[in-house]
Amino acid sequence: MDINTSNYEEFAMDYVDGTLNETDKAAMDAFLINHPEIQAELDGLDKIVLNPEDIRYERKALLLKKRKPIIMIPTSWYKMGAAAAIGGFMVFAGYKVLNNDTSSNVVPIQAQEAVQEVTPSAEESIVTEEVVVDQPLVAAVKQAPAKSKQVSTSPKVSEQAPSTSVVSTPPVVVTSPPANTVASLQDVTTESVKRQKVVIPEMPEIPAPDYDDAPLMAEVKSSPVQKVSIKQFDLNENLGVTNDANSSSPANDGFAIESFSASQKNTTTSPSNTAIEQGLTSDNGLSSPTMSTLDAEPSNSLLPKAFGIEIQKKKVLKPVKKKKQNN
Amino acid sequence: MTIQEYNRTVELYADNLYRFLLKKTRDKNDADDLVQITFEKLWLNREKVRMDQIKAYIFRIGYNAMIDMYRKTKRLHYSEQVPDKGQSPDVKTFELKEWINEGLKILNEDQKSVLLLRDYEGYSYKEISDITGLTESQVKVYIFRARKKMKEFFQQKNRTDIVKYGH
Repeated sequence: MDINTSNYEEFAMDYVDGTLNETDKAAMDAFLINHPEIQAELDGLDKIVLNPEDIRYERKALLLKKRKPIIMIPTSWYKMGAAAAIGGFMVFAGYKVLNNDTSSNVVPIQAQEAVQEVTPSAEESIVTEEVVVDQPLVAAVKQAPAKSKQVSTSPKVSEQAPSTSVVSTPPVVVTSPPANTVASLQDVTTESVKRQKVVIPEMPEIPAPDYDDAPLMAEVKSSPVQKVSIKQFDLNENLGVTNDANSSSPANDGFAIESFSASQKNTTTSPSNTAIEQGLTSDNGLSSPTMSTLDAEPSNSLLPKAFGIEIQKKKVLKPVKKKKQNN
Repeated sequence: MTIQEYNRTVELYADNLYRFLLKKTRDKNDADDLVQITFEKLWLNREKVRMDQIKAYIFRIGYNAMIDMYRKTKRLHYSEQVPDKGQSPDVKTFELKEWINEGLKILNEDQKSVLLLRDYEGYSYKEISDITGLTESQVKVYIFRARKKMKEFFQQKNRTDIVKYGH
């Protein structure tokens, strides 16, 4: 490093401090030998050092930062909070689930329970539905005491009556003799119709009746449905359509024909009707006119009977039964 | 930087910074303002500061704040006297301080800064270079020129004995 008058100041302090390396120190020594005025400048320069004064900053405390207070929360609080949150969630979830279940399944559950308690078999369930649907008609017909007594004397009907009483109030209609209050029965019917809608989907499919299966038909026809059909017929009689129950007047047939098909009339003379009548009489010991009318019904499936309209069709055949009685 | 580290920095270097700024500005109020500005900036940038360079960092902030203040106020002159209340120095110390203060008046700002940082705070040439933004060679030259001026001043005042109160 070449040290001259233009750059010696850069090395002067290190030379005074004694921090120059050997090469620079030798170059500096050579330069100072040739420049004694500069050597005079450096003499005593190591003594020119400012002694620091003891000066204090009086407002130091204003600069200090205070620690933020730490809020100590016991761990038990966290546990309690977590437990409360979980419990609240469970209650909320349970409330939601229950609301959903009850809102969508209230009616089916009630209907299912009623059906399970009342109808041990498929046939019984069908019978109850039919009775319920035709209940207003039955109530009106009950004013005719003779035929209602005949129905009540049927042992199968009496057995099925208590079963239907659980679902709605059809047994009251069937067995109770003189309930003339049609309005009260209609109220009951509205409830029973509602329940019928629920029960129908669970009702098993019932095979169509076969004419050759006379005993089965007899059992089915001895159901309350048969009674209902009879009562409706009687209601018509009470309404003045046909007041003569013993006569096979064209008025009775006319009522049946108006509301239903003519084929049912023809069935009254079919041999299957007589066979069924015999079976019914042999089983029950009674030859109820309802049996004969139901026998006259064609081979329609029993499933539509669950709906009240089909039951009325069966009732149309009642004049045949009257003929049988006449016979 | 944590709160504890910040407070420790205040305790260690607030006096040094104030002294440096007081010597530079010769005004207590200005020095006080500059110290507060310096530590406020330190707190705002506490996440970026390395503790091993904390002293040089606060002095650089204070030095730059002082330069900004000078530029705003256009005030490049110092007060004639700095009252040293709170101290009761003896006569020798008082004379020394007075002569030193008088000698510093003949220095320019860069010479004074680097000389104060070197003698008062003990910074190396490299650290003074970092604080002031000067090159290391410039720092060495300014310090050399400052000491030569101070020597000439004391020789003119016939107070060469003052030099003895240095190191």
